[in-house]
Amino acid sequence: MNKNGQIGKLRCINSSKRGQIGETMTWIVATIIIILVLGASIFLSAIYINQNKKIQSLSSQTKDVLASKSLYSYLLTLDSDKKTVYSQIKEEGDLNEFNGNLAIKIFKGLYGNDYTEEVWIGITDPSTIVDQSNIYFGPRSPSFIGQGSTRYLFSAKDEIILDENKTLQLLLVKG
Amino acid sequence: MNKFKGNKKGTDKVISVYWFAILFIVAGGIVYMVSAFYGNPYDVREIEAGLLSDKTAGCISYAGYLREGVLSQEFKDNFPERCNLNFEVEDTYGWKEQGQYFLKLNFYDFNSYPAANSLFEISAGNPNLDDSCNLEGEQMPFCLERELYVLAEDGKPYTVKIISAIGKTEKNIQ
Repeated sequence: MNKNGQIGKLRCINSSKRGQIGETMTWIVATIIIILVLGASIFLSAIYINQNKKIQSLSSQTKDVLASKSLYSYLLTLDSDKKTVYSQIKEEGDLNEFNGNLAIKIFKGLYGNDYTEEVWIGITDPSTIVDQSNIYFGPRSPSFIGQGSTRYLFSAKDEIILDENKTLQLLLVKG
Repeated sequence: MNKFKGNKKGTDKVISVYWFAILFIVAGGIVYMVSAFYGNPYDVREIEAGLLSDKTAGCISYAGYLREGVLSQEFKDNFPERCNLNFEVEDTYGWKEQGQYFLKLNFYDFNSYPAANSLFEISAGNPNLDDSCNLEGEQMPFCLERELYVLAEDGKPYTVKIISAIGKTEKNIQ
């Protein structure tokens, strides 16, 4: 074999080794990527499973039975003149000192820990979209104008129609 | 030329080992994810406890007032029957002997709640579940504490604290 032939053979072996190294590197990188993607999938699915295996409320549930019952009892509570809260609100068109403070004690006191996002009771006018407010519970959250909200975990709404333009509304929203 | 062919075969063997390794890793990952998803049971005890509280509230309160005779010894003695509550469970994991439900109602004077002591107490079910309510841990009964504002027939306001506890850890937690 002449000198040129030997050099040609060496070059060929070198390029073959480069090819092998390149192919192995491709597989190593591919393996790492596959392991990372698989690991991320397992991690995310584990988080998803932990969050979703605990069923906390029925999706069809729109009322809180205990809060609704408390609302009826609240409306039937008598003041010192033996007048029910319902009559007071209907006549005055808003919460007064007696029923406003009573509402705070009942609804914020008994349900404030369950519904951390919002506990609101007040008079609303269904014919207008202007946001409602009272001095005992402040302004009603703007996201609850209209038909409820899907932003929160669970919201309960109770309405008592006082007359054509006035409705007593109780809103309870979990954070 | 023959030497180059031999090298190519060697590379193929190395690649096939990688290929099998990846195949096993991916298969193992899929098996783990599927078993993690289907292996863990759904924990529905919160809903169960909520339904128990709602049913109890419906039993003791109607149209804003306490039902007649709720604050009586007769009602206390026959509480599950009077409220149509059935605490029967399937006979697995020794549940039937231990009992998997507990309900407690405490009646307080609304005006002095929560400082005052309970005026009247009604309970039914397995009281051991109530003892475990304040303990930390995964394999513990689920406890739900809700409150209700209600008027007595004479108009006196009460706060009723309803504690419902559900065992069934074997089927709800893994």
